Amino acid sequence: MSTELPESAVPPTTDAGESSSAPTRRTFIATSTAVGGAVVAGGVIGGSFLAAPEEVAAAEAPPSSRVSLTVNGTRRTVTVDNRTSLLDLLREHLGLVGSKKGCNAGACGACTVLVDGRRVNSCLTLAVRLEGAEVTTIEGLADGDRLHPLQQAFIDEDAFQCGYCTPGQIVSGVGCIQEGHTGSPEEIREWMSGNICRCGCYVKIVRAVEQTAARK
Amino acid sequence: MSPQPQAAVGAPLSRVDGRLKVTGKAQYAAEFDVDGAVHAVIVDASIGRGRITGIDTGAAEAQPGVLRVIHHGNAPKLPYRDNAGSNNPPGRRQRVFQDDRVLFHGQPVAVVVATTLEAAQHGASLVKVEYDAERPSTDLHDAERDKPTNYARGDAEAGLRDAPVRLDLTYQLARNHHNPMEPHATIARWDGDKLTVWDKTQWVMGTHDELAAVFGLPAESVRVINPFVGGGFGSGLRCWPHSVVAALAARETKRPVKLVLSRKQMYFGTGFRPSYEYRLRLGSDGRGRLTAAIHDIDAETSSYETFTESVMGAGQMLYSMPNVSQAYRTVPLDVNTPIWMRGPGFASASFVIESAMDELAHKLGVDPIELRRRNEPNEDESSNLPFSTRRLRECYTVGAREFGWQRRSARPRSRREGDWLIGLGMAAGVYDPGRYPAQARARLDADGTAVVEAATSDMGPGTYTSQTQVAADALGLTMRTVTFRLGDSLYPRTSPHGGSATMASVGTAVHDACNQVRQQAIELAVEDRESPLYGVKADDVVVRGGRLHVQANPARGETYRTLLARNDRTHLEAGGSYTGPPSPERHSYHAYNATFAEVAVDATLGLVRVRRMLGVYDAGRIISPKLADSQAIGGIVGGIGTALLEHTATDHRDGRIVNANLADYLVPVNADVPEVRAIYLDGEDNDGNALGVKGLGEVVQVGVAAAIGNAVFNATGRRVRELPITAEALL
Amino acid sequence: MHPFTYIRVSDTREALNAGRRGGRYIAGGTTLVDLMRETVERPEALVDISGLPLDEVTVTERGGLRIGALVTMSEAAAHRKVRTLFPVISEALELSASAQLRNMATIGGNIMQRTRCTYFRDVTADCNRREPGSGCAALEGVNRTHAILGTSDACVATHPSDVAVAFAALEAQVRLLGPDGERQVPFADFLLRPGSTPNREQALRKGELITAVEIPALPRPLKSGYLKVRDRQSYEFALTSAAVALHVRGGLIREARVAAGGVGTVPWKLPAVERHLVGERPSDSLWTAAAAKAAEGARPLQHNRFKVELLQRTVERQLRIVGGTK
Repeated sequence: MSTELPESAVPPTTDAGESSSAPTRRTFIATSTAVGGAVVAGGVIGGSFLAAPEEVAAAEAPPSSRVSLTVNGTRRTVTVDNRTSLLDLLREHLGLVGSKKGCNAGACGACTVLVDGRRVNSCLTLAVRLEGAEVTTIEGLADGDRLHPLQQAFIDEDAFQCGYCTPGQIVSGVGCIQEGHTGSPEEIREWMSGNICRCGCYVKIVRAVEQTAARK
Repeated sequence: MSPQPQAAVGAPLSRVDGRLKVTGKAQYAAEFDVDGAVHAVIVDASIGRGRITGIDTGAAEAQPGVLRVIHHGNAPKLPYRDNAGSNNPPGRRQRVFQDDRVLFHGQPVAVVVATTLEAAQHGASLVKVEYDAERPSTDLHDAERDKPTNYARGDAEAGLRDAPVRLDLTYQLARNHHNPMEPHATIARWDGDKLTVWDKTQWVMGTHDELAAVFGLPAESVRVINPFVGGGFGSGLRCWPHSVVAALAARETKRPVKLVLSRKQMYFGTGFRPSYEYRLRLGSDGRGRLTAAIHDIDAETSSYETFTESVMGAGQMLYSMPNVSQAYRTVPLDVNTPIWMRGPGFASASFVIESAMDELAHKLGVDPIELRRRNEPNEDESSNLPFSTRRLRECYTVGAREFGWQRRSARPRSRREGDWLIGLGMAAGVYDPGRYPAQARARLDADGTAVVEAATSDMGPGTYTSQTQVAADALGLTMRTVTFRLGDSLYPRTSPHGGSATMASVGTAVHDACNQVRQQAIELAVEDRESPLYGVKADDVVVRGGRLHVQANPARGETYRTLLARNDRTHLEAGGSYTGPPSPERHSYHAYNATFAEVAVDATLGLVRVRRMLGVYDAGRIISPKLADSQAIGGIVGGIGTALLEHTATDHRDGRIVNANLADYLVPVNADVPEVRAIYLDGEDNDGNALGVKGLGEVVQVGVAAAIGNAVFNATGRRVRELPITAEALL
Repeated sequence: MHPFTYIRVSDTREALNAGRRGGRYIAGGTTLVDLMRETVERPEALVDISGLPLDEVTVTERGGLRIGALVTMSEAAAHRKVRTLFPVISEALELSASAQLRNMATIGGNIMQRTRCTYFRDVTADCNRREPGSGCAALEGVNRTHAILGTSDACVATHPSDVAVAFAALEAQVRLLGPDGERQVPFADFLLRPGSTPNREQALRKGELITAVEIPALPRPLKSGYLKVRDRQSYEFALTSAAVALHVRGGLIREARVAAGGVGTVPWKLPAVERHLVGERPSDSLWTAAAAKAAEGARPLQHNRFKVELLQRTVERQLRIVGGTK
């Protein structure tokens, strides 16, 4: 798995880095359950999708879809249960456990990732909807061994303790900086309020974001 | 032994695990890739008390991917042996799927195991449970109380009767939930009759012992692994039923099972800081010198276990007074069992005592700091022991100076900025830090690096870093060449990672182990004819940067590597230990703080916003200042939550917690926390641990809520005796 | 979460086709996915409309605004025209949820939000809105955050949206597209009070799609703004809120638009307050007198009595912020 490709710098070609041919064990579990099931291809309007709902219930597997998306610069094609969130796709199927599940309801921000450059809650994002999307997680921020400046600032400022909200904070901070909401500590506080830190590291998180924004 | 140079201890270092945490590579309990793991989801009782009369699992079992639904009707009987030495409170612990009783709303009644998370979650929603429901008793104010635990000195009734100044105040403290960001989670795998679990816990040995007891296994058959804890604040101090459920499900399905509690399930699947009703009657003379205090303390516990915490301690020793009586009653309710939460007992009691002190100061027209100074004791009046160290006066002085306390007007409601009323408040804090037996092992390898291990945890304070600092200095190595490992029950046994005990306890054991290893090396060198140190007195040798040398003559020496290589030693190794505080205790050993708050209260809308806060701490020696600073700030933020936001709300009709999520149970967000500062007084406390520490993780939250409440009074003239302080109390 | 089939549509015809057959539209998904996970929502099919061309903000001929249903909250809030013409909309949006959620959620979805009532969200509790006839657990339950206006014996849940309060104040129109063509519904008629059928929340016909929210032009100069009162400084639903827009000319208030949030079963327009303002000269005493009418008809519950007073004070404050003081 390549995490060295910054998604904005090197646009992935269609099949470069295609990883579906070598699924991780987690992916294999997911795909194998879909065998024999009604696989509904995303984007194709199923003429009978509601005609016989009982068929769905009787099916061997829940409705699933095949989705191609780019995660941290690597193109992935996966078959997902339609119910699978982006967060669960990352954590349970792609082995990318850096994005955290804190509340699974959009109320804590621990799952924050960038989708097409915008910070979102991956717990409320259905993976099936991400055809063609570019996803950046905490694992995709560093440039090889060189940390993203905000990652380094988090270490320098000690902007975390237990570390569980940290990936979401950092990705959210990257979004916050890109959006330009770093004009003052007060502005950063407000625009970083979608990420709860129960260890209470907020003042240092604000400092880390402020310094990184100033360095840009 | 020659005193080792201090290079790492006391230095403001960054976290050694920082890189792992900022890159998402730190692995928390649910994140281990255990081959073939399937998913389990618990079905929660939807009544507050009663019996299960039927369970229909057909729809769930018909779902593709669902492997098994386990409940009391089909679960095997489990031994549930006693587990002495555990953190299980007195009583009969919850036994998962062993009978048809429902003890509280949300109790696990079944578990669905499936090949995918989605199937398990869906399956759980399809399990139909029928109940014979009774009305639960969940209201602290409307239930029978247990017999009290009492404390008395002097004659408090008479003292109060004779006091020229009397206060009679009743406080209500809401239930708080820890809400660590990482949900509790367990992965369980059986290999034959050996059980391995990856479990979120603040005490791998506690989970280890409990699982062995519940399943009737020999100790060596259980292994618990947990290198990273995504916050705890106390919620991980005992092994909760879901960990048993995961292990049971794994045994029944013969598959490794991953079980992660939902955020909602965290509200009844783990413990909480109990709610209190606390009546305090206080008597003083005309100058504010306390003469008597009567504490009537009611706290919730469950119907099946009697949870208690140190809520009586502060009232016995924080201030000097001849007459004290306390009655602490638990109130058994149809709820799950509480557990210690940051600053346990002391944080709750301090809100009461420190708010009352503020009321007394106002009543007498005495400055709140001056009032506290007038009541400063010369010894611990509950034990008649001298204080090991007690530098509360200095905390007041430094705090007042740094916070600008002189700018506070004694007259409430006298400072206004636009719509906002501004007020300043302060409170004292005290905590009785734990010191528990602990062991550690250190090994110095031939390449000059060392590995140190102990079965402790790091829920966020930075155990990895601070123990590495202790070990590095004791071994005379650089931070880089020492690896500290924790979170595995195969490592030397420690007590729980909580109660501010870890540095004093585990740190001392680490220090001991590393000292022994260093000493072995020194002895090897001074007895080795080929060593430049041959013949030197061992006491004159120190080690720095991996090189042993004569203290007074740094040129004369050699490295560990050279020494071990020449002697054909692959490694040197030693076990260290800490046996606990001196017995009988020689001193009263407590950590202290003075906490200051400035709040703004919207004069018409009643909103309270913290503007700045300062904590000044007497916590003994600070091993890792950069991390200690974060911990203190975090404790203050936790206190802001308790003061203004946090309140687990129960519908007493059926015992349902109605705000069991992070959108409705409010914890502080970034915008709630503008400016927070921490100052640690320099110094050390040498009562019974070689490191001179007192522990700081708990005391930093004690007094915070009172400081804020007192600031609210200073701003508005309104005294709120109920936590949290919300708009409706100030309209 | 119950299983569902998923289709993505690329034009409105496909969408309506799918909607007609009972498919559930999904845009930002922040409410729907959350409620599906709680099994409050159990759609058999999701129709992903995020690819439809409904994502533009345009100024209408007479100086009003049309905000496409699929414009995200963050896009709408940041849009130059929204900020200059109707700051009350931007402010309401930026005081909502979190930056992440605002990047996902859309304007159409926002006004379709379902209540945050804890009993509604918990499928083991009685709730007429979720399960008609089961009863309302909130009436006698924990109801601090519930509504004091527009309630019925069947339901006392608040509508959680902030921007909908601004839309209600500004007398927006909701543009709908259905199998029978386009139509426009006044905002006041779009969200339904619970009455005896709290399960009916919007005046939507089967398969209808929201295409835009249209804000009618108001005479200029217009000052507007949104105030949100909540326990926490950020990332929380409103205890009370007020959206105010005032057109003052020649020293007199010529037009007033006022609505409140956090207090009603729907965003609560305050015509009595507006009537009290029009024709008057801005003053602190006018704000106080007008705001006194804000809670007319309120029916507080056990734990939310404070909202009556808080609502009046919120409206008074926001009138002063927008209208200024002497």
